[in-house]
Amino acid sequence: MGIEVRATAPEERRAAANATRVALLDNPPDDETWAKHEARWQSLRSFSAWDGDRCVGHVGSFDTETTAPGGAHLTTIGVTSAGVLPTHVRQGIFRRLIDALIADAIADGVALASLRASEATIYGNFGFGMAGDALTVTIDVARARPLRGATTDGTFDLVPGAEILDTVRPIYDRADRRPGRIARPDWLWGRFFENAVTGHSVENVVVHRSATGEPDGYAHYQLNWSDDIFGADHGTGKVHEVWATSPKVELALWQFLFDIPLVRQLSVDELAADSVLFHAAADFRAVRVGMRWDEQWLRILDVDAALAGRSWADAAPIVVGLVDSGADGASRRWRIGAGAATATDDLADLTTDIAGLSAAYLGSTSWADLTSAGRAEANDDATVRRADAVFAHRPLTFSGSFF
Amino acid sequence: MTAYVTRPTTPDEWRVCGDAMRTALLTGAATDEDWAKTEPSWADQDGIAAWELDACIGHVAAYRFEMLVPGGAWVPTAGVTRVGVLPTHRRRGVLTALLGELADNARERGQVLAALRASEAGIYGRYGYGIASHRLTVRIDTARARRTATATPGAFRLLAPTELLDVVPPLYERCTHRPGAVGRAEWMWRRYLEEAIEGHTADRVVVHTSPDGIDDGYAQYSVAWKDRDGLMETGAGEVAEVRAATPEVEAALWDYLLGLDLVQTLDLMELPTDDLLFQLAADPRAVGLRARYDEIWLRILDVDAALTARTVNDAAPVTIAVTDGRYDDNTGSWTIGPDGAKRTDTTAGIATDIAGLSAAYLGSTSWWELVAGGRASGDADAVRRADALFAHRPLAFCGSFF
Repeated sequence: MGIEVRATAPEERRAAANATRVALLDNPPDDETWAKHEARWQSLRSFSAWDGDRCVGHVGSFDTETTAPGGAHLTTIGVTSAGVLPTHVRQGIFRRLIDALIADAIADGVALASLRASEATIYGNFGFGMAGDALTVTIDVARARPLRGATTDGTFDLVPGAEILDTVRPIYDRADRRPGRIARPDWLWGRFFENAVTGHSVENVVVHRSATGEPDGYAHYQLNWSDDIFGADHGTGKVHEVWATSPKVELALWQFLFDIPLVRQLSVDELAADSVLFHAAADFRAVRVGMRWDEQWLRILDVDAALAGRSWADAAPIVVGLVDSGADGASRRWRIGAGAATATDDLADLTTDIAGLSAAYLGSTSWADLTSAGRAEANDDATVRRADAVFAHRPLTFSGSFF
Repeated sequence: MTAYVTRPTTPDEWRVCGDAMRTALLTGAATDEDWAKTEPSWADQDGIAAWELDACIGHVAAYRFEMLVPGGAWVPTAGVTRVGVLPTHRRRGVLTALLGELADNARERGQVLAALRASEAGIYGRYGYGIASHRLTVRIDTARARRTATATPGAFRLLAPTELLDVVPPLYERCTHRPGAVGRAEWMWRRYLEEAIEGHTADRVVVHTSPDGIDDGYAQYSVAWKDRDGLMETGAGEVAEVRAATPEVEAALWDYLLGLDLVQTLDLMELPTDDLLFQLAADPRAVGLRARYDEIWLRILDVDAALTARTVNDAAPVTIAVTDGRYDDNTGSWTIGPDGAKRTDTTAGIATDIAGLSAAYLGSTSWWELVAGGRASGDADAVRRADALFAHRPLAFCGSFF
């Protein structure tokens, strides 16, 4: 019997959730869990695969926006809840699901698709490129401080649970300088701050206010005593996120965290590869990198909108050719540089596919990397250098929103 | 407290200075055998020692290197090494005096840059050095990283110990492309290839040869049986370096290494941040990062010569104001663009000290980071333009420890 792939009806969402959770090494949600998650599931753009009346695979997305280089916000689907039951893998079901989802988003005029991968081997097959990575670090705070340039004339306050979301969301909206940042839907805010809001674990939010009283940065963190409580009087902490409207305020917040009495070590699961910490720390090696991982996989859905939606360096232009980009499979070309991107019929200096262009789009993955790996082809090394001069963006891409 | 004096070292003082350095760097005095191996490198350096009466209390030295900078020029560079002060003589300005004299002498020799590999990351910023490159330490799960290899049209051969010093050095020169690389003196090769030359351990150099018979890449590695947690021994390898004339050959060498029979993990102490391995591994997460460290610390000794030596990208110019607390001729403003760098009196978009300019010089540390980290200042537009001009790929990486 064939497998049917279709948009998931509202009454089918729980079956889809059951299949997804099993595919992702979990159990189907019980009634209590489902009651908590149903609203999110009902809000998703959702496609599921059915073997008769059994749901065997699912992919969904929520509507969001991605900050492009230059600061514009591009419409984006955040691809999530993706999985196929182990009984039905290797039948092409996931390709049909993701194709259906992408076609649906393209029909709605969405510019980008963005996801956080469970495994790094999957999404290159579906036109996604690795557009930005993140670091996991452990900080020896005594060695890291003082941070250069971390003094402000502002003040710090711990935010009571009930006020947290109203405090942090407007700051997050203004702390918008990195490409790859996404707009967070309500359910994602709820998920990230649940413990801090309810107070069920020792999680804190500290807000920094400027001298005029304007909230302009926050840090979300938790603290613990180490096991050896009477041996080493050694506290440890985990920093979930720090967002601020300027690098200076961000540094002031890190300095605040480093100065918390009793705490000797802080870990951070997600940090930008070019975090302000590294060059501000008194000792570069005090911010010890334990892992670097592919954070953001991106697929451009509307190339014209994407190219028009980001800024480009004021550098000599190049012609980028994209193979199989149109509905007819034809190639298209754009002249990009000197601050603009325009369609052209001129010969391409550099040719790539949608995964290559998507990887380079946010300005962090270089054309030098992509051409070396055979994911793009350029006339010569000078072309690659020009392409990187046009595309490269600092600060690097970072999202900080796992979903 | 007795006053100390500083002066260039003479050959009869080397071993005494060497033992003082070993004390400062947590090591015991050299045996005769150690010294026989080390002495050639002392003959290749310009050393300065601090003396209190007849005791060496501190030492610095500089090799005469050339360093590759963006655009392909090799620039005379002081390779700073053997830096130390005895623990009994700290906080008396010994290191400041020695590093200052070293920089003065290097400038007189026409060296444009000073570069070093730091024992600790907290020391050199105050002497005008900035972090110009990073290195990664990784462990590769070979089974996950291995890709369905396309057979190379070329051939591989393992070098015999007697061939190493003839074959590898010229190949290194043909296969070195990244800013930050240095030319390697013979003593460096003897040190790096020591175990492979001795041939008592499984230290190997594999060479790739193109179909028309030209050597175009090599990898230096070692393999051994390792007992992990008392379980059955498994094969493990360490890769010292992989260098190739083209990305295709580099990929072929990685296919070779990832495909080594019996070997389950490969460790690398030093890998560029943007190594091709990350792009070609079947599963990028199979290349597990264990650390990211500062690699090259750079100090520009002659700003005019340094800015002339490197090329920048074909982008809009920017004016950068530099201050150097030690050298007045390095203080000033330069307008930098595709047509070159010229001194100017126009208002600068970016202001930095010599450590900031040095960090950015090789094209890997961004101006955005330097401004955000308080090492430079500038408005957002000037920072964007400076990054468009300075950024260089592939990223800087030296790969030579000295």
